[in-house]
Amino acid sequence: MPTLSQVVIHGDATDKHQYRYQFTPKHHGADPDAAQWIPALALDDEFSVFNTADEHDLVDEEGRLYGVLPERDTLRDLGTWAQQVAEFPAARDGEAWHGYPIWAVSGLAPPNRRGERMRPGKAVFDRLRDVGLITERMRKRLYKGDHV
Amino acid sequence: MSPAAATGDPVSVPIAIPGFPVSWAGPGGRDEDFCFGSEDGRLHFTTVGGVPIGGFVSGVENAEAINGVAFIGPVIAVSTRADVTFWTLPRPGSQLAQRAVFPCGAHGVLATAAGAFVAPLGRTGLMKVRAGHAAEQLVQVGRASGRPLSFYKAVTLHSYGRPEVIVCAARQDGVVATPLRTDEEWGPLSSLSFPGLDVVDVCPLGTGTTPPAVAAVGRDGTLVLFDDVLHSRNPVTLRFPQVPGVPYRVFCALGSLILLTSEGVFVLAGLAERFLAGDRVASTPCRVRPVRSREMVDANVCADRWLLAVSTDGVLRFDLERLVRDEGGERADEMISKPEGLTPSWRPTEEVAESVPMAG
Repeated sequence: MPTLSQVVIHGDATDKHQYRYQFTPKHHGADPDAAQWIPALALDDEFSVFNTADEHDLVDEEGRLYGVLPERDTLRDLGTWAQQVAEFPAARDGEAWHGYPIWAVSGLAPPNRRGERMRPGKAVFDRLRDVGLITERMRKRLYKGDHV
Repeated sequence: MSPAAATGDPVSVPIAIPGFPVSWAGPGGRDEDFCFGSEDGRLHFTTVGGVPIGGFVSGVENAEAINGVAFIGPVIAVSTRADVTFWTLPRPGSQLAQRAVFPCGAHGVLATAAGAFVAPLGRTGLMKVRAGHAAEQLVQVGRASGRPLSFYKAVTLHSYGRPEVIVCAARQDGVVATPLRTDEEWGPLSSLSFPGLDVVDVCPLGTGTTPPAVAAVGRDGTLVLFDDVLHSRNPVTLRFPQVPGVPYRVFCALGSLILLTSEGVFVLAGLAERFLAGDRVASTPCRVRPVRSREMVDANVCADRWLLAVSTDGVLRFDLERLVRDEGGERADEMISKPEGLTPSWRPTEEVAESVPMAG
């Protein structure tokens, strides 16, 4: 998907909870310091990552959803830095969700955020495996910050 | 009955660690020891025969999976996707270990011959810190001043009479090399890449090789062989299409290259030796032997004698000499593989590294 200059709302809602989804310029080319969805990923594919995350309840204790896009025996890159997992922070009721690829390892945390747990946690990776989106081999690698 | 006899395979031996979900396996602090890291942040030590020596529990709540361990004297560096922790073992007469945490995730950690720990921090940069007993250590993070590079895996090359060189697999930024400086500065970052290349691992070719020779592997199976990683601008580039799976790691042992992919372990017999001898390896068939076993997750070479591989249900210890010399494995699947020689448009860059000092 090329860069976006304005927010685009996807035409469909998720199958399970009827969440709406928006594509934001920030994560589609507008902010070079922010994680970027890979341009080759179509908007429908990006939405499918979100829809699948909702379908399988790939949610952490703070309501964030996480998604991947399986391709043969690996995962497609979702981000311009070869990120293979995306995070969708919980939206307020009635608002559209959005998401972005996440780094495999954490950056240098500012003092007020040190001690925060790395996301996604083990339970999310376990669930990804349990619903068949990733194998145990992939789970072990992704959980320690490696590619698959 | 010995474990090797029980499996019928003289090449690999399982090492059982009940109740310990292994995430990393590699050398311990001594040549005759192995060290294992767990998914919940614990360390476990055994002899090379698998006999337990001891363990280490961090006491940290919700500890992350260990992805690297390195040793310098009494200091153990442990890396996870969330931080790098430095444990200083107790002095004689004391029971307390000291802990210092660098709050930045890493893809691993290594010890240099010069007495520093180095860790690839992904997009944040490359970390180095001298090991010592001081309560505070100056942690240096080096990064390219012009643009962020993605430091993914790192190795150190120590050639006699030359400065130590840090070489990194830098994903789409290719292979990045920098001479290790022992002061608080960084040397220049030399990188080499081409469009579409995604380098996921590097390994030294030979010990004490002068100049520093390196092999790198890309996520699509591209192999890049440097006779001098600091100065090569047109390294030998090839691919073996018959080697299946997504590459995870590359190793050099006894003149051969060993690839760990999502489909197993593959020995590229004699490839490193022939490359260093000046053979035209990109156009010469190579014997490729699959050594498929349990599903492999990661591996490390220990003391140039063992390949310690983490699988989905434990750890396997491979005897490198037997692995490379063709003992065991699936001989029926061995193939003579004609490589695909590649001539990409390499893009070299030389960047000044900026150093951001931080207290550890």
